Amino acid sequence: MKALKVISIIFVFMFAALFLCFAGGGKEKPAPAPAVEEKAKPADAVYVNEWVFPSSNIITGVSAYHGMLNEFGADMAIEEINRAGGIRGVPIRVRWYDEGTQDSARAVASMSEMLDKKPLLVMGPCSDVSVRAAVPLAVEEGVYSMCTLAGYPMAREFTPMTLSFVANDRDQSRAAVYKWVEIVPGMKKVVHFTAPQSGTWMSIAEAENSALQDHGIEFVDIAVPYDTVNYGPIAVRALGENPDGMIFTSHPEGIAKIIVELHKRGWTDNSKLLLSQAAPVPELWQIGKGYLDGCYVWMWFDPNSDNPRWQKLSMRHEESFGAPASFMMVWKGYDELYLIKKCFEDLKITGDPAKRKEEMIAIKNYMNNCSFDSIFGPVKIVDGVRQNPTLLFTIENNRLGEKLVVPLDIAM
Amino acid sequence: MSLGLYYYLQLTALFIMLGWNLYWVYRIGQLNNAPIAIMAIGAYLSAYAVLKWGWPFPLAFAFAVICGTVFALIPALALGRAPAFSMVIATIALIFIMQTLFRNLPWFGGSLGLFGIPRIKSLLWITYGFLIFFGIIIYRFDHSRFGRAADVVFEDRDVAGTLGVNFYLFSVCLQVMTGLIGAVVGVLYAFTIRTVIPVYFGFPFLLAITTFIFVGGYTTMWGVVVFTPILWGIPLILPENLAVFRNFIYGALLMGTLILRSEGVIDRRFLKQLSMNVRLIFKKLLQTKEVRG
Repeated sequence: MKALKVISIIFVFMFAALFLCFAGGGKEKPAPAPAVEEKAKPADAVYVNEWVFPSSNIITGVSAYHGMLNEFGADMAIEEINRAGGIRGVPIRVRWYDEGTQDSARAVASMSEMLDKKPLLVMGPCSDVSVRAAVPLAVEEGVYSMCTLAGYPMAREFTPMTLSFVANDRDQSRAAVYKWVEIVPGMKKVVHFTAPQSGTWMSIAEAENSALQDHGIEFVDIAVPYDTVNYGPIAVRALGENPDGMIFTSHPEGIAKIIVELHKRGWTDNSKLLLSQAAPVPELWQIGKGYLDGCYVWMWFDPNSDNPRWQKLSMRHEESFGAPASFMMVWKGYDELYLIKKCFEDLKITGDPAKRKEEMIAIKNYMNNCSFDSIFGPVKIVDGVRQNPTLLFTIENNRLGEKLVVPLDIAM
Repeated sequence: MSLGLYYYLQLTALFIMLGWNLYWVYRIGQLNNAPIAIMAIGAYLSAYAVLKWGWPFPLAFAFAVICGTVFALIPALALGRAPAFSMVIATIALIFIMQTLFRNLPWFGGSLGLFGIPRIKSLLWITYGFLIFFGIIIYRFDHSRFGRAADVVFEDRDVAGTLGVNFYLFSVCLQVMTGLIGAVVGVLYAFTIRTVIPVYFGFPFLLAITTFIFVGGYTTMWGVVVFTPILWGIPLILPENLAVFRNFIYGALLMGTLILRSEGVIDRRFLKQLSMNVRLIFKKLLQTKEVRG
């Protein structure tokens, strides 16, 4: 027993020592500020000698994979921007703060920590839970949040203090359903797999249902909990409704498993399956391999884009993760940093603490209505919402294949 | 006070109270997670009363706490005799039931929840007032005949029964009391975060509190008090690159503690030793004073 205790102590200390050695934890460099201003320095000269952008990210918990992708894209942008001379001649760095997975207390703690550093803006938070819990703090402090994954209901709630890359998903999802119904005519009843855990997904599902209603199509919602172990009963329940088609607005793993179960139970016509925009991630392709061809997927960015910047990121992603990039977390941080770069250069942001208040307001006003060169090409931001197209893809050979560009006004 | 420090102090106090909830019922060998579900009731009802009915905070607070406490009676009556393991499973299920319920009740905002809860001045003082109040109650309980009865029940229910301890009644009373604390914590949490959505009241809480209590020590109320600020503060204390290993550190600490000190770092033996040492130091100090005099 004594030997076991000794071994256990050695084991715990060894792990602690290993982490201390390899995690490379160093204290953050103090916020740089020259003590004496040079006399000849112009008023709009950069005050800091490094731009440090705080970013709330999902670093721990079951969704840590998302946070890893976020860092992956941001790292590439940092590398490119710094190689090209940084922002206004000053190098950039992102300091990551962990918001946890669906952990409101952690999200608030990390946001308050970020705000204590008196930033000009914050990148993130990422998840619904964190946006809901932490963004009110930033709003109160007058700090603009680039919570770019915030969906329509949340972006609307915190406007004009937030930027969303996805908040016109309501119009997009309606347009996608309109087009799908046009391509696959004659549907009378549709089963809709939803994710009640997510406010953003539920709002998309609601919009999709309203588009079905416009066509007089009956719909039945079936909730898909994140922690479902056996998807068979869900598939049986769906088939029991005798639907003509199905829409999937849920988590990718669940979508893939349900489609596999449907096929095992005799479903054949994949054109009558419409997958929502968050679906095409490696889990979908791996789990659903051989069962997905012919399905429709609506998205608002084109993972097959031939933009060289996207190609470069996608290639790196394939080298690191074994599949081309198709999930927005990969380029979220990348686009955020390029938008910051453009904003700071256009506004000649100095980072001077004495001008912080006015610069924060200027940043907010700029970011809410601007245009910038994203990883997919030029995009516009109107009232804090990125204006995205609706793209309807078909799945071919377990990959996104041919695409249709759907005008948003089709569902207006 | 900086924002970071404010939220650190506020959330630490709430976690300590939740930790005491777990500790209190575990005194009789039952691991009760129901207070997290009750916390959701407290949070939702108080938020709803303030936002939709326009009630002032004290009234909404009282209403939510009363409702939460009354609700706590339902699982308490059903689970009064349940063995430890059954109670863990049943009360975790209760957390999921509560989440599903709030998610599906449209007037509570569904999966989007309620938001725009107003800021309450002096919330930190109110929270620490409750922390001290509940701390005194639990301390008094531990040092009363009820505390001694709980010790016997923890060791052997049947023996406790022969000594005249009504286990069922004891369990129900403790569960209702922890329900009350859970409801209070729920209200305070809602007004701290100022939004409520169903997923707030789930596993992250359970995981954190379980770690705090089992690392700190589940045989005394002081383990949670000492270790919650340390463990919750890990990401704030450690450097950036190390702080992300928070969950690993929690896991390693939990594993190490369970192997090396199965009752947690601060157990009764430790407290006894500490109090003896403190007395000895005082005695020596007094002796030195007398000699000098």
